[in-house]
Amino acid sequence: MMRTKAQTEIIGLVIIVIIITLAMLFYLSYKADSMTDPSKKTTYQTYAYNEIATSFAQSFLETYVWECHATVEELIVDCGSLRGGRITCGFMSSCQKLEEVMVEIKNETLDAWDYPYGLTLRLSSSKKYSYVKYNCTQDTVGRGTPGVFLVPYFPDPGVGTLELGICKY
Amino acid sequence: MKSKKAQLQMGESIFVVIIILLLIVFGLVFASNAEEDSIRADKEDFLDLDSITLTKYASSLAELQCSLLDVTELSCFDIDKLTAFSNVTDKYPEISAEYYFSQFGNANITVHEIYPSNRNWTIYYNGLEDGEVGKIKTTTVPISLYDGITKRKSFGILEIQAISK
Repeated sequence: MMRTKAQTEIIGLVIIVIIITLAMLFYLSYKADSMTDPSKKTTYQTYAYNEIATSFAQSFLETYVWECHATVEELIVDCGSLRGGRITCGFMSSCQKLEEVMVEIKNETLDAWDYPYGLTLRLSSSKKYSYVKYNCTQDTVGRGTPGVFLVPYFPDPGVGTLELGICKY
Repeated sequence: MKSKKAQLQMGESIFVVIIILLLIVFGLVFASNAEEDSIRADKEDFLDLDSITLTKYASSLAELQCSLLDVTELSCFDIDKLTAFSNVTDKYPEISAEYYFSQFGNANITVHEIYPSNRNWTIYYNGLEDGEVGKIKTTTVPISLYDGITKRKSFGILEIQAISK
């Protein structure tokens, strides 16, 4: 009789331990599920990547450079086309001024915001200006859709491309 | 002897009841903590969505957009319109905040010219008052700034701070 009673008591204790263990397991699995996947982008990040990338490229190309009496787009054409060199910016060539303007705007925006980004201005097969921060390259996982703008050199052959891609931050 | 045994039995039963109550209390504490985390995450998501809505609305504000012969241009603000709008905001801040509150809510919206010069315009200001605490989500969007006199564009950014009190 006493042995049966003792067994019943032990069974009760075992049931309590099992309930506690199950409760802990449920809590831990809930916590694990609620932790965000590092490669998963939120709606905001997806919007921000695309909006900033496309708006930056568009606004940059339309910017007027007073020293050259030309827009950035015209400087790209002058710098990249075969018959370039027609635009001068004081004591600087169009290519030098283009790089200077690009660096200045990049510093005040993308660098100041501390975004991981990859900014490339490809003028020809041999000439390009490329800036990368926090190793955000084309192969980086989580990189947003880049804003790509083409600048044709018509009537000269060739096309310049401006590309800005922003990675997860 | 019998009464001592009975007392022991009662003590055991009370102990078991206390343990069960403690388990229930711990369970409720865990559940409420988990719920609090979930609510905090939802609040962040709503603030993100509010930021996106604000940004889309502010960047396409008809009062500031570049236009030529009724054709509006995306990602472009007219500097003359900006200056006039900013003057009205500075002169009548409460009226401006009240008028646009239904669209912008609690937010600060400013435009900064980056190149070639540095100028700033405050479009809307309805931020935190002294002593108030809230969460701020800042979104910056590059835009072109068109000067109607010189007919040239400069590079600027539209900064929107969405505030959650």
